[in-house]
Amino acid sequence: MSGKGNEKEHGIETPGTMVLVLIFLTVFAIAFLGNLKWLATAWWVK
Amino acid sequence: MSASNEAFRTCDVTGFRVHRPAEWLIRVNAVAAVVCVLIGGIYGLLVALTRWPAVHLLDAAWYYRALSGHGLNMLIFWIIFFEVAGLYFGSAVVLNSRIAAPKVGWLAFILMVAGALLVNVSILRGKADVLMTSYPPLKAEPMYYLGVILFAVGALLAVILFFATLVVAKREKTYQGSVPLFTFGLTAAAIIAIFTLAHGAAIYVPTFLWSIGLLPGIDPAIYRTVWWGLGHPSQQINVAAMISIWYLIGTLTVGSKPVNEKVCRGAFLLYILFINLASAHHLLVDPGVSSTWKVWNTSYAMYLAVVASMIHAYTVPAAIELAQRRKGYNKSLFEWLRKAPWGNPAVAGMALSVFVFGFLGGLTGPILGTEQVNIIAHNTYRITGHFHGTVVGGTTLAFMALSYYIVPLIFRRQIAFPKLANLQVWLFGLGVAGLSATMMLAGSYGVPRRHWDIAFSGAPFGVEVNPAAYMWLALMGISAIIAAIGGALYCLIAVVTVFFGKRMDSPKDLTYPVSAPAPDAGTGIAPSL
Amino acid sequence: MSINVERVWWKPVDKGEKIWIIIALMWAIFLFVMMPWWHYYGKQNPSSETYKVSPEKFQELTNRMIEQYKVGEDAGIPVVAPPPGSDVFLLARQFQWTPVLKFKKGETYRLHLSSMDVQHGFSLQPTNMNFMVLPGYDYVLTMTPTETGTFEVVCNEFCGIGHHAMVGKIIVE
Repeated sequence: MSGKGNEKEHGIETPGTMVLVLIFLTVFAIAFLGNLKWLATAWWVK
Repeated sequence: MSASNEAFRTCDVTGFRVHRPAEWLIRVNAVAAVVCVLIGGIYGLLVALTRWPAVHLLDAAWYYRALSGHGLNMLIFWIIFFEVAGLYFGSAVVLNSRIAAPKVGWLAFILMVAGALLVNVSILRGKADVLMTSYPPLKAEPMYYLGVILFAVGALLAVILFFATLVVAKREKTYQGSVPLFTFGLTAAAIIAIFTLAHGAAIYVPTFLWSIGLLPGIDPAIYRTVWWGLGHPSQQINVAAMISIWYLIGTLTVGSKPVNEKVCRGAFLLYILFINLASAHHLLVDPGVSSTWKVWNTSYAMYLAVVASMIHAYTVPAAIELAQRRKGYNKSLFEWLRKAPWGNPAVAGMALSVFVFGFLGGLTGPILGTEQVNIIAHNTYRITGHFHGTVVGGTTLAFMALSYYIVPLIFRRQIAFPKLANLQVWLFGLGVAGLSATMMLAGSYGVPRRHWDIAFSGAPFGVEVNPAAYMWLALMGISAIIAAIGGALYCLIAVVTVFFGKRMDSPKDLTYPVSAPAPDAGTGIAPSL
Repeated sequence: MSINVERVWWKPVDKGEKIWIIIALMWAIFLFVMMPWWHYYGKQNPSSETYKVSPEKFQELTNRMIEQYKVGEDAGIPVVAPPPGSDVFLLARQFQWTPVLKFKKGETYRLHLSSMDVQHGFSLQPTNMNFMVLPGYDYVLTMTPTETGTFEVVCNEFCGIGHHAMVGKIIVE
């Protein structure tokens, strides 16, 4: 891409988006692992 | 050019040569879509008010009928009519082409309308109390299955017409280079639609034959396996269409162009290749298929489709951020977002659609699709919450948002009640977000989906349902009312605009402006479409 | 107007996109590994054990178990206390689960599920564990109750207008 503006400052052109998707991934990971933990407390076994 | 010039008009806003027969097909399909969303919405409100235990509106039989009608009118009829309109727009209009065979388009439309009518009549007659999945050996009257088949054949014809129009446009050289990203995304959706509808034929035709007595029975496990080859990928058609619309709205409203279209297009390719396997996660706690089959089919390739969605989750906002930064909104991390044209309902609708789809519908999908987690989630209200996040908060809201551009461009009318339009997307988006979240929370206490009475009246044993579940169900009812008001406003605005809206005579009559391309961001409006 | 879209496939990918694609791929690989890993080391997994069975045969097996181990009746439904380790049959039909089962905490049972008519859903509450029950298929779950109490079996697959009244019971002592 053209290499002006924010690129030099942040190294990537869309830092705001990067922050947003990292928040998304964090929520995703917590929800996923939380479900596995929750599952482990249920009382039947395979 | 093989078509005569009278068959075309030139759009004064976009400069497109619009093929009039294509425009009429887009119009009738869009109107049918709005009629279906209205019917489905009424059913939906009745369903929600029945599941709110303090209200418990309908009796058992009518609850399940309303639920069947809600599912089919919303998930199938509204969405597919809108998608067919979108396919004609993305092929004929966006590529400056004539539509390959308008008569086929009309035949498709008639079949779809006939199918939708048969299904609705059958449900209202009380002869199809089988819900949307119609799992055998529960049996509906033959007319019901016939209606589904007619609708699917019509949809298949429309998809074929889309491909034929792509061929015509290519052969008649109405565009140069690649097809625009919007059309590319729709092509992905259309390819998924072909194998989805093939699954539909493979299961509904034998089921129809069984219903008229020509086949002795349908194996329930085989039915489930094949039916979900229809049921799940059809949602992926919606996802592909919705994401195409996100890119299009970005272009229309802030003049955006993806940072690198190769990445977006590659992600669409991943959908085509891998998303069909996601259907396996409907069978995670079924007899008949082994754990190896379940783990393999839900994990190895479904996650490549998850990667594709995560890529879009980056590239969609990135395109907008880039355009906004190039317009000078460059100060902090989020000035580009704060200074987005929020007064435009397409922008607010799209932002809500991205948010609800991502955080409520999207990330819960792979979690529920984990073999083990599915034990604590299968057939609970968590599932319903998940797909209301994807298909209502995501797809339906994106379709509504795009309508605020498509309706003026295609019907040549100014949007009626523009202030209400702003309120509409927020009411609907937040209502659905609440609906999705409260359903999942209620479901986490084991509240079953598709269930008339969690007080279990008439059962031999009482069931102690956690009081928290009652609270979430009440909040679900309230959210549903908010969403229903948003949905009703959408229908009101669409109908008044189409039939009584002020005529549009020049580009300055456009209710919401089409943004010029952001500086350095492309070579003109059409390419970034 | 003329439409001319530049071809994009050779353009280099932006740094931010590259970083994100790598992160997304790593997350996908983690998700991928998690399921088989849990399958071997986790304690909860859906069963793989399935047999074809006719409704008549399943009914017969259930009746035989009821005759052998019946200890009483509850709401007109036989209560059965099968010995630990044995094959236990739970029969689903519109709109009833037969029989009521009595288990011992910490003991393992082979629970067979099948339906006489349409599809049903086995949903154990309030523990919240859910499995499908199909006619013609015998689904065998190897189960070990780890708590005492009374648990309800709710049907959570739509099976007809009386669906909501389909509640069974498992008692763990």
